[in-house]
Amino acid sequence: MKFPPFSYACPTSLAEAIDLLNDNEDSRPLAGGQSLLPMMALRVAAPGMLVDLGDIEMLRQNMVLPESMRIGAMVTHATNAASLDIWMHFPLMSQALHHVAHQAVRNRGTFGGSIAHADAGAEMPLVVSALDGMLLLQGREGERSVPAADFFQGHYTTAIESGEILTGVEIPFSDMDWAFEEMARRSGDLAIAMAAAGVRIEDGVCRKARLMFGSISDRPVRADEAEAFLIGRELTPPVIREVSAMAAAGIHARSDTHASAEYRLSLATALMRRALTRLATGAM
Amino acid sequence: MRRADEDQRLDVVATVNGRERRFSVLPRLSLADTLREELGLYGVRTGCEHGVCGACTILVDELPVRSCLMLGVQANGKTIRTVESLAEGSSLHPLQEAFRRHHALQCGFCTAGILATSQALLAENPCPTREEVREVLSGNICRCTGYQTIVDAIMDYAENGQAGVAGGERGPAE
Repeated sequence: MKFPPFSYACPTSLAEAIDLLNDNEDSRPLAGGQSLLPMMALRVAAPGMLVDLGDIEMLRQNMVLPESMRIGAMVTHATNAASLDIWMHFPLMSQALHHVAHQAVRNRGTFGGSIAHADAGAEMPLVVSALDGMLLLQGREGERSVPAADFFQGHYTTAIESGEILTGVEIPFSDMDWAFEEMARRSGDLAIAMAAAGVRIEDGVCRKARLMFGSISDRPVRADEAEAFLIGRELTPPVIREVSAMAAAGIHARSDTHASAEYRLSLATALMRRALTRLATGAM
Repeated sequence: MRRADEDQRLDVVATVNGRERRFSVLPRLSLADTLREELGLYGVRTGCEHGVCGACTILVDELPVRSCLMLGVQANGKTIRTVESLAEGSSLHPLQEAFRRHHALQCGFCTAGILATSQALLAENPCPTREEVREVLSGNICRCTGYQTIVDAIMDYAENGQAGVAGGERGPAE
């Protein structure tokens, strides 16, 4: 279907963009448009004004800081997938980016757009949650930052207030090894289930662990009990089996047209087992 | 700042298939419809119109993009190539020849998008594996050929270039 009518503005500075969003009721920021425009074509969304962020140069940059990296909201998935800095510092993100849609969508779709959209089946919300990213929000009153754990509040629901723009995410460097696994109906589709696992192995045993799932619930979920269970243990096949089942056990899973809750949980267990097995065998 | 109300047209200047084109469009018009309706480039196909099928894939600044998920007004300053840029007069591009040789199309509706996708693949990776071709084609839905012959055509072109193609003078990834 064709898009419903809307007015359009393409500001060149962040301040202008924030003014436009605050002065025009029913306006929305347009990032890469790979999620918002389909919703408009399907008449799920019909904003009166689109504020195109495409000409705001500062949102298109990544910056490596001493202990973290700041990823600009308007950096495309394709750019991040090809970034050596991201591959070096956030291998989890590089792995996950291979699963984000198709090349033609990755060329327009943006990191910040995907996060602000907060589709439960999207990869980047899980990645920034697993890596403890801080979401940077700019509004008329200035900048504030929100930890990923508080940012995602449900399917399509985030902590972004009306009139605010997500400018980027600051992600601390991690000393863990990471593995990402996903199941989708075809390569590039939204995930039916995803698992992200991070471990730090010293002297053969696990010293740190981070286990998270995406697309199982309405937002990224963390399996903290299973993480605690892993500490001090070796990543042997029996331990991996047990911890994967434990990780998926406590989660409230969603059902939709693509998969039942029961199927999602069984996928979650299998994907976590695959991720941990790759970490244990170094099969990255 | 470029800005237009919903009933107001916005001027756009873009390089389309090697020529500078000036046109003006309403904000709500997708790039796919802009190319078809304002510029008469009917080689651009609109299928699902919400980014799933890949039929409308074109090259924007040499990268494949879904033209149904970009606005016409966003084409300002861009370089755009559609399937019309491939053939020279009546002689098909060697990639198109390979498609014809392998019977890589039946109804042909998805072909323009698949040509754009494969052009971009071959520009980045002139010697892809069959698996890599399949992975890239997963973004373009074809309802009739089952992909086998499409993959054959792309592999043939990648492996042999214009060899065996009469009149073909252009190499891959131009």
